[in-house]
Amino acid sequence: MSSKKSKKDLYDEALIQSEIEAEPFLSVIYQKKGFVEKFHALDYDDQIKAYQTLVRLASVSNPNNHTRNDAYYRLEKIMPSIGLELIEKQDCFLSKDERLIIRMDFYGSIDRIQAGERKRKLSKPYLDLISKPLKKRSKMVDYDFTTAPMWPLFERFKSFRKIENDLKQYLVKNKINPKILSVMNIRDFSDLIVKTFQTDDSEMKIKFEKPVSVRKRFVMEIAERYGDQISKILQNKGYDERYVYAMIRAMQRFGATKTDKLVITETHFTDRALRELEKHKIDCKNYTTGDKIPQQLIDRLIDNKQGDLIAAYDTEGRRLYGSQFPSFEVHHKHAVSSGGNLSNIASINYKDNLCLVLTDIHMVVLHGMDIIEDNKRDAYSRRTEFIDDDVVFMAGFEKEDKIFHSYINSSAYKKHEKEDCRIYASYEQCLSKLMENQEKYFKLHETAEVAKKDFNVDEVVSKINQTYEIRHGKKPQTRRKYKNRDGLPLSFKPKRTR
Amino acid sequence: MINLLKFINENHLLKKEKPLEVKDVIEAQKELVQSGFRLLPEEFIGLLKICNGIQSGAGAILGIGPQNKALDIVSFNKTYNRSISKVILGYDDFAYLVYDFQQKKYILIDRGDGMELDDFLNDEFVSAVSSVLHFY
Repeated sequence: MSSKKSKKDLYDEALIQSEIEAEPFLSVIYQKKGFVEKFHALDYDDQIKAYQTLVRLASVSNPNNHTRNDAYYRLEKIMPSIGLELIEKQDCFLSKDERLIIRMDFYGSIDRIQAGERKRKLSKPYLDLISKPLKKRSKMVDYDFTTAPMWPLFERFKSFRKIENDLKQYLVKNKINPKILSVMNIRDFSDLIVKTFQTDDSEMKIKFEKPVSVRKRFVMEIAERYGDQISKILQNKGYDERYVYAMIRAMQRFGATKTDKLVITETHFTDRALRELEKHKIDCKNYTTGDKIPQQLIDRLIDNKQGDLIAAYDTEGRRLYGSQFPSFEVHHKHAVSSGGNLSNIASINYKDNLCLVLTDIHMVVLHGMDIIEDNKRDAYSRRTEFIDDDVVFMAGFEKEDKIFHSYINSSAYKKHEKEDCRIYASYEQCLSKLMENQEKYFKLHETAEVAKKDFNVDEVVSKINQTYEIRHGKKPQTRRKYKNRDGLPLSFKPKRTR
Repeated sequence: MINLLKFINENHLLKKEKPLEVKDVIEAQKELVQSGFRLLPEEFIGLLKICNGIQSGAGAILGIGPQNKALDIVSFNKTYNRSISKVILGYDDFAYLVYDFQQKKYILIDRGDGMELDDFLNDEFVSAVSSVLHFY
């Protein structure tokens, strides 16, 4: 019996060994000892495969499943070795509205609220008041944003504080009733920002933060400050020098993180590049093959959409396209969803909470083990977090693949935080005040609606006509059709009294 | 759709992909169904015929066998999607754009906890797509 078992064991071992030879990442899944070291010995792509497989195995819902528990154990051992930890906590989640505000602040843009279901999310009082301008313009001071219950939720963010005057100007210019502020919900404010900053009615995404958004500013700054270090990290990982150069430059100039549009250019003149430039009458007489292409020339060609003239090719004559190389994403180190724990919600989008990471790492590693449960009584979350909060760049699992920077001691950071902390807003309080205001508005308008219903126009017209007939002995002439301010026909025009 | 194409054009997101053939669509649909998902919505297929996979400044729309393999809708969903009632169509740093087969609408969900941030009916498809595409 025992010899049978050992034969089976031998067979299993041989099978595992052959599988590992074919797919080296399986050593991290199968080997009982030294799997952490095995993980670090793998190349980056295999590390991602190993991590992804463990995450999948650990996601099995049955808590008694042996494979699940084993995968979980392995992840718990690997994580600290790559500077990460699994945090489990009782949480305080942010509302959908607040997350949308954080999103707008992060991207510096707002999507147009189109017809259809989304339009229904605009409040009725807002739609009423925005569509009925007053006869006279009000003054800037009449638009008191402190009367807007939901504005403090926006005001906590610098990007929205900066545009308060623009919004006021729009309201003044369009003769909007100042009372509108007191009944506006989050969507209404988004719509007002769209109306204020749109360049035309068909624009789908409206940029309100100028010149650059929080996200873009972060990417540009990291690439500017740590360009050389990022270049070294990426080249050490074996990426083509020309991709690395083009990627970092695109980060520095445009805050770009995706590679589809990335034009990878030669860094030094080649015969082909010189030929193409000459063909397009771009002066390059002073250069010969092998000379470094001046940065200004590369930038100019990219800006003029002529980057293709100096496009990079591999040794076999195939062009290098951005899409063959990895993209980056910006990760929030403290989860946006758990922002309810923070006293200063704006700090979610602060630079010290952001990290520029390779897309794979963002998807597989940083969000791979997320679990969030919110059953109203108990909110629980599990999330992968950095052990060292100062990580601002991550392109691999080793310490040398990361860049660390601390923002919190800088005077600019402290000043920004101090300004943001001045504004306190509780979502629940803001919402309850808004409900109160909207209720008042509805009551007032319901009364008006009832009064309008009681006032039967046809009845009044008929009475006037009868009086006319009695006085003049004939029926009144056909009435002219008058239109009201909404362009709808009026049933009658009251006679002018002297 | 015209506005979306204008946005894509203005931001130079249109790529020179080979035209999407009917057999590619059928093949992808088949693979998704085999993985437990249902058929992709019509409007989405319509967009892929013009732009098969888009990457913008911070977001992306997946495609059917696009040049950029990271944007392949089949492998992306097989890898990152744990729900068969929704198919991921695109994403940005913050959220996934999914199509919910049960509710029959497009939903923008938080990448962290899957909370619905926004929802779009089939006729609001253009808004749905543009919600994850950002300025370069």
